[in-house]
Amino acid sequence: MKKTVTANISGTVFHIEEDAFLRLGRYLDSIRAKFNGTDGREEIMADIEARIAELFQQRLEGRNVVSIADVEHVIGIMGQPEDYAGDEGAGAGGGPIGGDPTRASKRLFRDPDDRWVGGVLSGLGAYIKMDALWVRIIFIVLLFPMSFGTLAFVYILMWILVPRADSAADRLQMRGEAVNVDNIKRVFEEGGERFKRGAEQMAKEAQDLGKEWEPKAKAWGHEAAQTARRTGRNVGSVLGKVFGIFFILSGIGILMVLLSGAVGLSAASWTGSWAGGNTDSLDLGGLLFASSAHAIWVVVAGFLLLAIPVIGLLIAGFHLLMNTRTPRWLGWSLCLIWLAALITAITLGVGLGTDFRQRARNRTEAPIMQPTGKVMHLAMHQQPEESWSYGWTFDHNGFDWRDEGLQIKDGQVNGWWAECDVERSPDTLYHLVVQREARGMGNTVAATRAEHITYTYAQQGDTLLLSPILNFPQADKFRGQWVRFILQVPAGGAVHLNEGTQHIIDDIDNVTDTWDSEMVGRTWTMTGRGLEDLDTTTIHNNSRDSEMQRREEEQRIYEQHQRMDSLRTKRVAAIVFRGPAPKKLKASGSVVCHPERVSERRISPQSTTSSKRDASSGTPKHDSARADGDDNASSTEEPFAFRMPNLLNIMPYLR
Amino acid sequence: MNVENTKAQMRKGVLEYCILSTLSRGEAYPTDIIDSLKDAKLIVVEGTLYPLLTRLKNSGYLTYRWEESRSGPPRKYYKLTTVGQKFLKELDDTWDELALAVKKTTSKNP
Repeated sequence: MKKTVTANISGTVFHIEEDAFLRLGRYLDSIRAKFNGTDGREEIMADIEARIAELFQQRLEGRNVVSIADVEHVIGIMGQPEDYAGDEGAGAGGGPIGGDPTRASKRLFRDPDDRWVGGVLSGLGAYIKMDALWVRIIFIVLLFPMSFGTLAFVYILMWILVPRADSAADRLQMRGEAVNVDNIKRVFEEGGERFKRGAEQMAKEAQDLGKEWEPKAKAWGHEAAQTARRTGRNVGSVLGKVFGIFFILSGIGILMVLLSGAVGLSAASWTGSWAGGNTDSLDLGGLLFASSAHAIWVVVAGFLLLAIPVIGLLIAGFHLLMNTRTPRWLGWSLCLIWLAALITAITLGVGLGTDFRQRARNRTEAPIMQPTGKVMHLAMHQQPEESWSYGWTFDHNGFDWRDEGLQIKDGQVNGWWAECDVERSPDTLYHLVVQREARGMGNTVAATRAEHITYTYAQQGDTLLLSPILNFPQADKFRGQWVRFILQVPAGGAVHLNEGTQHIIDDIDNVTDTWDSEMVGRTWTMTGRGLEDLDTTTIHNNSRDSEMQRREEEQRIYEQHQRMDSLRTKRVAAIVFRGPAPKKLKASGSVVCHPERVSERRISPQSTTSSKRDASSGTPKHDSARADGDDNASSTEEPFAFRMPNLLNIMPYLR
Repeated sequence: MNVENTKAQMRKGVLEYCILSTLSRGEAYPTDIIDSLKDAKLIVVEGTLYPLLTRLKNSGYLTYRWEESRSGPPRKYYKLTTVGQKFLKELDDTWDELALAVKKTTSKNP
């Protein structure tokens, strides 16, 4: 007595004895494997099945049941799998037709016929319809970045829990089609009992494995030696294999770097620190994007955008090295994932760029007291702390690196990038004008953000203390928030730049075109031509030669420091000293700054915005009063990009 | 290199030509083609024919139509396309040249 199975082969129903059915199923599977990666595989399979059905019909002649002898006969006619040469260079096309005779509910088994250790991975491969080799490669690749123990533990657990495909029926079910939830459930339900039995069995299997691997290792050595000899003969294939190895190694290398980068970035968000000491990358991401989650998506998308081509490199390498064929679904899904990552990155990037589109500027006048003497001293309100110090050492060596100073604290963002400029006053008084700007999707949003910015300044007698630190709410995001103090000095008045102010002054126009860092520690008087250091001009005026030397020196420094954002035409005017005899302007001495004792005035958005918003339009144009007014215009219209923190410069910036 | 492999390669080369030639005599379904090729001892096992037919069809040399069969699954009847006919003509010429060349080089008396 034999059990029969009903099978539908190419539209005809056959009763097949079980062993014959298994034989036929294996035969078709191995042929299918032969045509792996060939275009039109399903069509060829459908043709072959149709022919098999026809042959069965001819052979049965009224009999009801197909026996193993019938199957062997038909296989004899059709040819062994070895006879089917892989059909290289097949044309495109060929739709999938035909049914699969091995339709059965699917269960996860360990494959004892194709195993390295416990047969777990080959069983898994059969279950997910993937070549066991690929499953193993993925497993080994994953073994390194994931902690070795976790994956090894999962493997051992599966070795214990997943039953071995012992009977032929099991093996068939192992390759069955439908993913059956019941089976997965059963694995867990029977887990307890199975664990006990499975562990015992595993111990026995592991013992056998040791014996089994000994000859295998020898065979491998032999095979490897043979392969080496064989490849030695063929330079072309050797070159291909060298490239393959190179691809694989570099692929793995890049992948490692990417993974460690991603891991490092996510680790930094938990424990590490950014510039401010307590600003982590996640907060920083949240400061740019709608939420920290968006930032994580950007990182994930970016990672995938980079990693998937690397995986492609790996696949190419394996193809060159071992002539493996990539399952088509892998290529497709990688393509799809890559496209999804690209779309995500573009969507978020464009969204971010849109929120930078409009710039709003808010000009207010901050009340100050007029200096009692002729000189207003400019000093730093806060000396930079250690944690802020990174970055501004490169202050005038190209870009404004000082933007590194960024700190998030109690829902507030503290940024070290407020700047100060000195201009001519429209009247006879000193004024402090504060220019705040921010960006946003629309003008209103940008203006609101600009109003949210707070800045700090204080006055102690004749000394004006300016803070380079500006604050804005974290909820506002980073949208190019920026503050520029403009000290307006009346004609005949003077400003002394105290030590330390080189960190806040920015591109102050002066008659001698002296560089910012060289302006510090000197007193500058607003003459008819602009800001002049009367001490220097007098000294140099005494000797024409030294004046020439000074100008040459200045020219040299200028070229050395030529900044990208101040490439305006240089005017080296002939310096002819006209004016009163030099007098000692530094007589008052430098003011010692004690920020804690200074009467401090912190401008909050509520107190300034309503009353001072119109100040900008109310401020008269004062450029016309200057002899060289056009020289001054560029300072307020510098390109925005240089003020963005360098980290953010890489973000797509849409105007 | 072994004899079997060389033989198989030689057979494989002319197989496509023979399939096209068979079809130039009219429509046929795979079993017809197999029979004529088996008679000529060109193929030993049938399975090798199907990939070739699919490839020729995908290259545009063949088309097929379905025809119901009284005893079994519907059959594919293949026939040459115009492109296939042109291709066959070229192959005819090539074969003549080749046969001549082989004859010349392998004949004993120079």
